This record gives sequence, structure tokens and C-alpha cells, in this order.
Amino acid sequence: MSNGKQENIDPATIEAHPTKEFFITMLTRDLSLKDAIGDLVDNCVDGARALSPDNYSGFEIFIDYDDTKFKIRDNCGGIDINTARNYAFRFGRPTGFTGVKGSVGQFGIGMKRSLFKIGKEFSIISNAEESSFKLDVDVEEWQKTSEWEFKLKDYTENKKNLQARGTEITIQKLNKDVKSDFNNSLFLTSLKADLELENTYPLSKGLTIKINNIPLKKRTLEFSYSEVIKPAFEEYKHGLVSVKIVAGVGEELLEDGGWYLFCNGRLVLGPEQTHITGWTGGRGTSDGGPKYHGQYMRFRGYVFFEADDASLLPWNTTKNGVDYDSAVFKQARQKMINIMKPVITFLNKMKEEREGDTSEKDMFLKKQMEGTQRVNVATILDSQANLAKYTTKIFQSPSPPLRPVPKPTDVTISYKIPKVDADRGKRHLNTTSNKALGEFSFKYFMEMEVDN
Amino acid sequence: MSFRKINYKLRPAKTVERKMITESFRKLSAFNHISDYQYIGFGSIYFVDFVLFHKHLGIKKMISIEKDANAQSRVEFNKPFSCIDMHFDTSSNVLPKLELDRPSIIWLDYDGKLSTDCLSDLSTTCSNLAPGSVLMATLNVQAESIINIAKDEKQEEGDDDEIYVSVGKEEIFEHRLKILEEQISRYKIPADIEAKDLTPNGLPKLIARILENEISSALDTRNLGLDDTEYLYFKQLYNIKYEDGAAMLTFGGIIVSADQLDTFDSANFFELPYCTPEKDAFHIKIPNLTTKEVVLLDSQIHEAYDFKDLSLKAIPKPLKFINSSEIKSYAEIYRFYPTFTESIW
Repeated sequence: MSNGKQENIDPATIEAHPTKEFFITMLTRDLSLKDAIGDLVDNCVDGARALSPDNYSGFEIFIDYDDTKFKIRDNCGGIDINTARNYAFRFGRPTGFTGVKGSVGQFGIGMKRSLFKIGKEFSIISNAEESSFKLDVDVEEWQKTSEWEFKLKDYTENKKNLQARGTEITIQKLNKDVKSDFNNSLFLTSLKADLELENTYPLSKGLTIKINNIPLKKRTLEFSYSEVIKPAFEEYKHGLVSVKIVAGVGEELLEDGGWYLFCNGRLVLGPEQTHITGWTGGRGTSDGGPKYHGQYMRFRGYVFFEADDASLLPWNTTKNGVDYDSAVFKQARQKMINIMKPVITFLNKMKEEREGDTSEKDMFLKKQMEGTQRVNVATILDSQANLAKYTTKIFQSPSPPLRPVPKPTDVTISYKIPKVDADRGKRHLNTTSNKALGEFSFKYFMEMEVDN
Repeated sequence: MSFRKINYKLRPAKTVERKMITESFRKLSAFNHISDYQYIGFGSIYFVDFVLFHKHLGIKKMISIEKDANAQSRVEFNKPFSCIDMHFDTSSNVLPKLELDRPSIIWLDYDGKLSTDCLSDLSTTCSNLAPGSVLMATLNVQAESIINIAKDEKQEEGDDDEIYVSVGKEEIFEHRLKILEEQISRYKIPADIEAKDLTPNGLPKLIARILENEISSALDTRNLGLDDTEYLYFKQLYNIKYEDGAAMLTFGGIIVSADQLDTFDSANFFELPYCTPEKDAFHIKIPNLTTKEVVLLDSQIHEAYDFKDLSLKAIPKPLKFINSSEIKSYAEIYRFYPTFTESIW
């Protein structure tokens, strides 16, 4: 095929513009539906944070879905029209853009990616302080055009907006997999559990989130604490990132044991029970502790990474994991491993005690655990006075009284000898038992050859 | 549990090593008052190192780790000073619990061979030790004897007639490598390992390299979060080999921050011939000499040995009846040559 235009193309130039279809596929490829919804919630939370960093009461997020549409609505301030023009709907974050301090949305792809993931038609209505806009996008139509643009439907700007502030996003023409998840009643349960965990901090600061009118409960992160069993606390700065690590013991729940990693208050990983957070097992690349299993279910560790510029935090773009190679995380991981080792030792000793021949009433460590009370992490981190009261630098646990380990007194020796020799030996001893022959010959050897 | 097997006081090379190390610690005064250091070691029931460092260096904060809980009352009885704080547990359980943010001297004097736990002890301590602290480990570095390898091969083949069968270089290498891989994981063994690295001459060097890798890797991670002036370096001081039976290696050094590098240079550790930054170990060899010979050697030592070049000069006539290699070995350690006498109390 030839046309006039092609002749003008430099033969040394390769056309490399991405197609929109490729772009959307790549963007949504590694994103799960729950992470997509989580990302939309993060945007709402950032809105609340911008208005009132320390107290989210009065802010509400409503998520409603059925098998035809998905809707998320909030009263968290709305998207300013300039933010929409320059940032919110652009792919990638323009250099020099300053977002909300300490925000959880940072990569400049979160919202778009989530919208594409869920459906093929979306509509956004936003009412900010001095502007408002409405945007309708039919993704299939948009894919056919060559321009990388979205057109606002209605907008007002530079005048006081009398509407209640907030954002409402409706997504229709749901993607097939999404529709099937929305039809599954278990999906709601697991979405709720995930969002509760991810938003532990915003929920504890008074935020309301409802899914299909069911309110999310705030999860409490707790430690067992007493005068002799205290969690360890370490705080330091890595460049502009401040890091807090708290680790100790908690309730006996297998699925809750492990490390929890938060970036600007958003849980990105946890409970984490693999080599990523130091459960490496004794061998292999073994720079950590043992592999996670039942005896460590009391272990609790919480790491809080905080930075005004969220791009410095060690999370991945889907916010469901850490950036394993980042210096911030590598350094934290080394400290986490150090801080967890004494806890592991304590839990090992509890296991020894349980499985040893100690009678129930003599179980020293078990009694010590029974003497603990629960304390919330939020309480611990609340003030310097509480940190001093509830934590120590290195995990504290009482040592059980030393008990001599009984040494085995008898051992079994076995070896093979030719049958003819054994028969001759037994005849000589006037016995038919191999055992008797063995014992006699060993006794003879000891008497004749080994000093007493 | 080697204290039941061997009396630590009667190991001549070990005795010499301890005295050398004590002397070298005096140089730590460039960093801190020596008496401000804490000492962490494995005192066993003899506490020889504890007594030396207490009496010669004035160290008063001392921690001894004893893995044998059964020995508790015996250890407490033998503890020479009440300032020694005992921890009855394995070193890998105790070390993470210790506060290492003051200048410390840690001597992990393992009896046994290199293991995963040793490496984990090194990384635990390195990720916490304060700058100016000393970390050392002593390990058995005896290579697997080729006679044992030949015997093993024989058993596998079930050949009753020959006691030893010939084994090739490759089989010896594979066998020794397998043993090392059982001790530590293959992820810790340098990728460029060759047969000669596992021979009696090569193994001490290989193990020193594995220990240094572990230390550096822990410091590298720690450095990720530090400013340029706080950046931490491991400066090797000790790479000492000796045999009181099995081949032993003491490997260690000091952790210094970037702003202590000048202090480290001015401390001039390497004027001591037994302190070395090199890959080749300083070898303590103890010649067997009578008391009369020792007196003679001392009287002629300046004629026989050049202390500047660390080499033998022409052997003076009165010493002709002593082997020249023994004269050299003696000269290298004569200040520390131990005298053992029997005494009746």
C-alpha cells in the first residue's frame, strides 16, 4: 500500500506510539479488582486528608455495586477543575505537580487504571470549592479516536460552588470478570475485610466507609503487654522518610501473625509471613529468621513509613506490596529482622515449654502470657509518654528458670556381621540371642580395651 | 562443649593469639577509652579471655554466653569477677537481645566449624554494632582429609578388598564442596570457588572470605540509610591461623565510620606484625623448645632476625643446632611464647 504521506516518512524512523488498547491492557494487567476499588478509596481518603489531616469524622465514602454498575461517592472535597485538567486524568504525574502532603495516591495512574479495570463507560461528577465538572467517557469510543484527550461535559470555575462538595463516580458496561465477581456474594465479604485492613488508620480517625450500605468496622492492631513482656520500638529517618517499627506478641491467631507494612497510614502488605519480611528459614539466602508457621502465630510487627512526598515510600504501584529493591525497604528489613529475633526466641521457648514434660501448673512462660493485657498500637504511638511506658528498645520477655536438660543415658548400636561368625559366637556363649551376643561382646571390649 | 574435652589454658598457639589480641586492643584507645568498651565472649568455665581483658585492659562491662544450661552452677562457680553477666543460651538467641550501641568487643570463639548460625551471628551483630567496635570469630578450618574421602568412596562401592581406592581431583572437590554446602547454604559460597579453595591451604582463606562477605553485606544494607559521614566500613585486623591440633582461624576487624577513617589510620594497627589487612593469614607456629633453648634464642634474637623486614638473617653460630624455620617461627612470636610449668597447690 502506498500513499503520498508515507514517502515523507524518514525511513530511519520507527513509529512507536502506543495504541490505546495496548495501553489499557498493560495498565490493568496486574491490577486486581479489589486493588482497583482500594485505589479509588485512596483518592477519597486523600481528599479528606487535604481538608482535615488529623480527624476524618464526618467524611463518608459510599461504595455501591450490582451486576450492572459500580458507584463510589464521597463528600471529601471534590476534584478541583485544575487538578482534573492537569493531573487527575493525565497519564502519569506531571513534573512539578505537588499533591496532598502525606497522600496515598501518587503514581498518576491510580484512578484511570481503576476505571478501565472495572468497566467500559464511566461518568464522574465533581463539586469542589470553587469549581465543578462532569465527565462522561465511553471507553470503546475513546479507543477509536487518535487524540489522547477527555472532554469535560459541563464545568464551572472561579466561582463559589453552592453544591455540596464531593465526587461521584459511576461505572457501567462492567467488564466480564468484574460482573462475575460482583455476582459472587463472597466477594463482598473479602472486599470488606481487605478495605478494613487497608484503611485501619483512616477508619480509626473517624472516616465512614460503606459497601452496599454495610459499614466497615475499624480493625484494632494490638499487642500483649505487661511489665515483663513489652514490644520493641525503633524509630529512625531514612532521608525524608520517617520509619517506625513496633514488634512483639499478640493473640494466638494463625492468619493474623506476621508483619504489617503501612505507607502513609495505608496498609500495603500484611499480615506478611514470607521471606519478604524476614521469614526466610534457616538456610537458602537465610538472612532472616525461621519460616513462618504455627508456633509464631503470636508474632505481631507493624512498620509505618511516612513521607510528605509519597513517591519516596517503598510501595509498588498497585499498593499491595513493597518495592523490595528500594533502599528504604532494605534498611527497614534489616532492622525488622533484628527486632524480630528476640520475639522468635521467646515463642520458640513457649513451644518447648508446651511440648516438654512440664506440668500445666509449672508452665512459667504460659503464666507470664496470661498475665498480659492488650494494648492498641495507636495508643502506644500516641505520645512519648506511652512509648516509654509500653515499649523498650529490644523485645523484653522473662527467662524461665533454667532446668537441666536430661541427657540420654542409653544408646543403641547396630551393625552387620556375617551370619556364620554370629552363629559361632553364639555357640561359644551358649546362647541363641543376637542381642546377648552383641551385649556380651561390647562388655568384653570395654573391659579388655577401655580404661575404667 | 569443649571445656570438658580440653583445658583451654594449655593450648600454646591459642595462648599466644590471646596475648597478641590483648596487646592490639590497646590501640583502640584512639577511638574510645578502652575501659569504656564492653566485652562479649564465650567464657566457658575458664574465662581466660575475660581475665586478660579485665586485668590488662580494665574492661568492666563483660557478658559471657554459655550454651550449656547444664553447666550453670559450675560456670557461676568459676566466674572470676562478679561484673561478668552470664547469659545461658545459644549465641544466636542471646546476641539479638544485647544492646550494642556502645563500643563493644565481640569475640565469637566457636569451637566448631563454620555454620549458618555463625553467619547469622555476624550479620546480627554487624547490623547493630556501634562504630569503633571490634568483631572477631574463631572457627575450626580443618579441611576434610583426602584419606577420609577415599574411605567414603570405598564404602559406597562396597569393595571389601581395598581399603583405599584412588579418587580423582574432581571427586575430592565435589566431596569437600558437599560438606561445605551442608554447613552453610550454597548461597553463601562464592560463585568462583575452585578445588584449591577447599584444600587445607585454601580453606582458611575461603572461610575468611565468606565471613567478610557476610559482614560487608550486613554493613552495606545498614549504610543504605546513613549519611556520608556515618558510612560504616569493616577494616580487617585479624586473619590468624594456628594449629593446637585442628587448624583454627581467627578472623575479625573493626567497624569504623567514615569520620573515623583518619583515626583508624593514626592508630596504626598494622605496625603490629600479627595484624593484617591481607588475604593471607598470619600463621602462629609454636616451635617446641626447652627452657634452656629459649634463653639462648632470646640472647641471640637480634643477631638472627631482622625485625624490620620480618626475615631471618644469617644464623649465629651458637644457634646452628636449631632448625632455621623454628628460629623464624620463634622470632615471630617470641614476646608471647608461653611457658607452662606444673605447680602443686
